[in-house]
Amino acid sequence: MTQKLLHESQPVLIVEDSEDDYEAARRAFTKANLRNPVAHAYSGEEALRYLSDSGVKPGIILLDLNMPGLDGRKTLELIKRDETLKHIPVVILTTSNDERDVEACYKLGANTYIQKPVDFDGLIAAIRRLKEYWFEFALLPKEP
Amino acid sequence: MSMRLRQFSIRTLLLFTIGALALLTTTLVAREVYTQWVRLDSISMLKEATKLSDELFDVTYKLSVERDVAYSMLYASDRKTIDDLRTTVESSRRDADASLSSAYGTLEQYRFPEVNEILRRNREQFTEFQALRRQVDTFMAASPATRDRVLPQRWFDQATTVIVHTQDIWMQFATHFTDIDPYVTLHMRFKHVLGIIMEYSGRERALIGKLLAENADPSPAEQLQLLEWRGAANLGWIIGETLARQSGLTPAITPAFKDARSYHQSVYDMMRDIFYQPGAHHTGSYPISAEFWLELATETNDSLYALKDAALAQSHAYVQGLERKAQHEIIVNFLILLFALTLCGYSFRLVSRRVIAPINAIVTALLDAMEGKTVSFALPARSQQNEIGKLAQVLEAFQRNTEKIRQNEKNNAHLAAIVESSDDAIISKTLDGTIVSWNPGAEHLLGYSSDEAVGRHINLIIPEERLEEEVGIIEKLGQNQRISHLETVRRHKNGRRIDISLTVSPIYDLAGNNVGASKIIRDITARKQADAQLLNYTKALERSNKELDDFAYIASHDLKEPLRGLHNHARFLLEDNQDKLDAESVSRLNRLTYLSQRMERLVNDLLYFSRLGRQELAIQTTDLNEVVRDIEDTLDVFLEERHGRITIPKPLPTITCDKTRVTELLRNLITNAMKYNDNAEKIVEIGFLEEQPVTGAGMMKDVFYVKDNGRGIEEGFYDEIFRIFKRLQSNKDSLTEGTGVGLTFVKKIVERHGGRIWLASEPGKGTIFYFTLKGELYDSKASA
Repeated sequence: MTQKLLHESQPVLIVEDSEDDYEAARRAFTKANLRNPVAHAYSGEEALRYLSDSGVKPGIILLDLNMPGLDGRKTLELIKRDETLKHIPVVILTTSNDERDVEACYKLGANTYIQKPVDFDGLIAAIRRLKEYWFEFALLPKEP
Repeated sequence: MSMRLRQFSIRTLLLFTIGALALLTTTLVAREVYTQWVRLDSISMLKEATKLSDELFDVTYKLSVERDVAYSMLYASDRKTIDDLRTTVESSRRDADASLSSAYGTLEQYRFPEVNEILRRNREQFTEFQALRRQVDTFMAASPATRDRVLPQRWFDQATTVIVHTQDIWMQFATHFTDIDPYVTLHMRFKHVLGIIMEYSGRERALIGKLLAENADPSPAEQLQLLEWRGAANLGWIIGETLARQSGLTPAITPAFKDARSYHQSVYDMMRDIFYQPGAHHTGSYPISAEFWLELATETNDSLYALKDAALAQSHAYVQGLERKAQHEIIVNFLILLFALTLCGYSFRLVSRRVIAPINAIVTALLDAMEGKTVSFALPARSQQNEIGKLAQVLEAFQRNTEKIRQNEKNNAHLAAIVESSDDAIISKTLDGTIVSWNPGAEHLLGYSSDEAVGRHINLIIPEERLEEEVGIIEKLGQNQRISHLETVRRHKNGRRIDISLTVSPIYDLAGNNVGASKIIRDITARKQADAQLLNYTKALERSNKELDDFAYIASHDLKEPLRGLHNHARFLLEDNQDKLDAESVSRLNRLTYLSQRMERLVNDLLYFSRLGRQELAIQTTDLNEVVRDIEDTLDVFLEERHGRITIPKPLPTITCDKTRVTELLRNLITNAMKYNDNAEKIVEIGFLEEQPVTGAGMMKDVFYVKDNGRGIEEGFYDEIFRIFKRLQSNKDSLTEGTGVGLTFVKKIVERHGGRIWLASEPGKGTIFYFTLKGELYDSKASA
């Protein structure tokens, strides 16, 4: 059985060390009419802690790559190695458009890779497309 | 070889034998010719002698006539008989004198000692004889009563003595010619015998004539005398016949012989009854007169004389024959002599040419070679198929070898000089590793002097930890292999390790045996250091590239993050406080967002440019026509807006290249051509040329071009346009305008492919960009 869609009630976890970027993402969510509750982790460690502690698992994780401490790559690797977490779609949202980063992330099991546009309108467009894809078209495996 | 030796020996022996035989023949024939010549001379002497013998015969004949007639006359009593006889005596006396003086004169020329002795005595007797002649004259003039009764007999005896002595001379003379030809001697004897016969018949004639003149009967003593003489004459006939037969005269003289003999016989027959019968006497007068008798008797002598002439003619003919024969023989022998001489000369010339001259040449060449001269190899004998030819060939080979050796010595000197002056260590060693030679380069490089090193083992310079390696080298040398440029380490006298490059070659002796090895050791310490330095530089460069990458990465993330924040905050400010902000504030905040966006594009371009430099090309087979079609598709709107058109006059080739990059290259050139173009219709032509001159740099093959009808570029800006962020037009401050990196990317892509880009432009008319790619052209025909 497959779970049809991400539900609006399912929280979205944003792992982002930059307060500015977090705010931009929140605003873009609003602009894109994405009403899901948003959880914010400032670091990889915090994200993993949230994922293991919270009762409700997030429907999707937006993950920044460059972070102090446990960076995005490591965090992604740990999520995708965890049997209880690996089904959660991970969208890499990062400034880097380096091929090496892109390739490495997909290898580690990232589901989407989006370069953060400097332009805020670009970000809104990106989030809108993200919402359309993950919340309206994509099918996900049933939660264990 | 032995076969050839035999050939040579037989041929040369034959040549020598022919030469020797010819020489012998020459000698013999020459001797023969000499003998013949002497004989010819003798024969001519013989001819003379024959003539002389004839003369002497004549003398005896004439003397005999004188004696007999005078004798008869001395006994004559009547005046008439005396007068008649005196006439005869006088004429015969003249004849005899003439003959005698002629004969004696001739005879003296011969200088035969014993003959001359006889001749001398004969002259004395002749003198006495002449005295008697005068007495005979006196006698005849005197009256018969006073006449000397002894004189007639004295006269007769003396005359006979002279005649006999003359005959003795003749006999003695003839013995000198016996050796020349026995026949001619026999001929002379024959004539001598005829002379004797004539003399005895003369005596008969004289005595019978006296008896007739006296008209007296013969006394018994006189009768006995007559018979004795007749017997002697008859004996002469018998001897003469034998001699004639032995001397071969018989056939020619037979008629004359018979005549003379029968005449002699018939006279005897006529007189036999008158004088020869014992006790014969006559009464009255004899039936014949003394005068008639004397005439008759003289006729007998004449027949003898004729016989003598016949013999003489025959003898003469015979001698002439001898002479001719001798002459012929001389001519024939002379011809033989000439032939033999020629043969002799020819064979000796051959021997000289084939044996002596080549040996001379070889000896001369050898002597020259010994003196160190450079000898011509063109020895004349070397084509001969014998030992001399072989010898010449061997000598030539020897001389060539000598030349080679000399050349080698020269080369060796050169090589030695090279070895001496080489900076490389050049060492030779025996198979067991004993050092044999050690050049100054080795002294310098390894620290040991030549005296210290030569004779030591090669391990002297091999570090302990490398001894294994030497075993491998020796093994390879054993298989006649060469070791080239083996990089290893050797030990200096002071223990220091030296980086070296080692080349080891086997050394062979003349027989091709491997007797050792030569080592060339090059100090590569400097090179090793340089290599290490280079490695350091490379590592430094790699580090630097890594840092650059890291920088790019940092730039892509860390520079953009604050930029994004700047942008977002401006946007949030605008959104959150739109109704509170005045128009100018709104404008400034918009400007802020615009600048941050532009900044982002610049950063992105910079990153892309750095990536172009370090990323590997993804080479693949690429149809350029398809590439251009794809660009047309993606630029669809762009082209439509600007009334742009892309033309391809000739289908483009399919090449191998990085398709993505080349697409980018062409897109940049096309968009550039459209952007800087003010024409209503903007046309870009893309083409391919087999070859095209590069401005100021010769020709290039497989050249692409992109031609536009745009504004054109001033020549002074040809280089500048490729510089990063360089735009020739002023910044219009529009997001649709480029950052000015297009041509920089284009140039970078061309260069990454190993190509070249250049342009030709005319301001106001348009520009042509030419470029080449490293990508190999494998199909010059269009695929589409």
